Amino acid sequence: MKYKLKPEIRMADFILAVNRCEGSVTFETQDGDVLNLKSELCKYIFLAVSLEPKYLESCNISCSSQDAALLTDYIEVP
Amino acid sequence: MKFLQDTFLHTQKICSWSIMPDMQLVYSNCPEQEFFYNLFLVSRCSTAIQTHFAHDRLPLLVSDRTGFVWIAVCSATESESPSLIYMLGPIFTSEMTETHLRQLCRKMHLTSETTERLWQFVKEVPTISSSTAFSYAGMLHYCVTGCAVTSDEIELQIERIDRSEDVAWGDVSWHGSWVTEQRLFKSIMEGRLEDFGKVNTGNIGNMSGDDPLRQAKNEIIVFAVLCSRAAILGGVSVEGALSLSDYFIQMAEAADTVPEVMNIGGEMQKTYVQRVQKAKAHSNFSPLVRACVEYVDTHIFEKISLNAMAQEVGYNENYISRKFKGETGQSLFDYVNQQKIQMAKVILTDKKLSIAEISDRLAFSNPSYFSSVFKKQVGMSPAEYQQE
Repeated sequence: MKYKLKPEIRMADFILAVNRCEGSVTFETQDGDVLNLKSELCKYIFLAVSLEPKYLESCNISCSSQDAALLTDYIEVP
Repeated sequence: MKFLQDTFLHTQKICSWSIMPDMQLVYSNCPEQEFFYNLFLVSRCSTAIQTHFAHDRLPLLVSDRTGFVWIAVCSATESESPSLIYMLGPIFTSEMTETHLRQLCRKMHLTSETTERLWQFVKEVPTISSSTAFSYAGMLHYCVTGCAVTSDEIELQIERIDRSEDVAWGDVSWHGSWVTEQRLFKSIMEGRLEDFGKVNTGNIGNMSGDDPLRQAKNEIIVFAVLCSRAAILGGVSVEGALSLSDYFIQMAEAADTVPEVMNIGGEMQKTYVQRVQKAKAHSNFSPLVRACVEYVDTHIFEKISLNAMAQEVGYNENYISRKFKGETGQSLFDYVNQQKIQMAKVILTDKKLSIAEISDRLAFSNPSYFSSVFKKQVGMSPAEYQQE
């Protein structure tokens, strides 16, 4: 499932919440880049990208619906 | 403190941070504060620092898998709860080149635009040598607490890495290692432990392209060759010195991070110096007896058999037993037990280890035999000794 990030969240808290997810959680950009948010280097790239809110709007978070339930403070769950 | 923090920033490009024990930010002079504070929070370094200062007050150098290093000191004394943690960082102890970062990102099939976003921050991170990082940790600790520390007291924390996300590295083209090598060689040959800030062999030259971990391992191999030759000239047997270098090279090969390799290098330097000191103390013994002593040192954590020792030193069992007792007045069997108990006394200072674990580590046949040998030599049981 794909989700949008909520605006003005604390990115470090979001990453720490991702660490508690069981399955894979990825960040997907409009250019086709896929960052596995459980990998250290990808987390750092995500933090760099997330400093550009406009760019962030076009990106998605992909994870299972069970994991999405753990991330409701940070992602828009329909 | 402000003066020191500004000096680090404006002369070395090293940022300063003050954080609460719960990792809340109090102060930073980092121009890219938001990014690097978040990076610190999500990296293992924040957890490592929090855990370290929960029970320790000595400075800490901690690295993550990517190679970002943080220097942390605590303002509280042993009896006080930690109130504020002062940090310098991030720094690299091996330069992160744009080429290397791009290679890592290519492995993950990322576009150059995405890689560029990270590189904009990474390129601002300064690279300093590990020995300088230790000096800065000492300076910061002194400034905060008024107490001096040696680099041996500064803890270097290792994070095991996934090799697909290797650490950083730079183009070192200047071979500045000659003077350091000469100092190191002389200190080992004379059995003096000099403070090289853990291990610093100087800029040894690029031996491994874009792989910093391979470079660190190659440096350790060079370092092992130097140490072993210096130790042989210092009186250690050829076999003993070379076995030791094999042992440390294998340990370094199994390591997963640059700091871990550095720690192994420091341990190797210390061990060689101790061996030379021992060889000098035993200089009145014959080369054969000295070789036996070294064999025991090298295999102290193994079950030592007279047969294996005889094979290694090249004489038969009866001859080496007679010769050893004749020169030292002590049987080889008693000597082995005595050395194992000496080592046990050192290990027993770690209160977390059980007697059974220590007995096992020193290859005694069972804990009760270990306890009886210990009691006979020390006059108290291992458990009583550990409580002291």
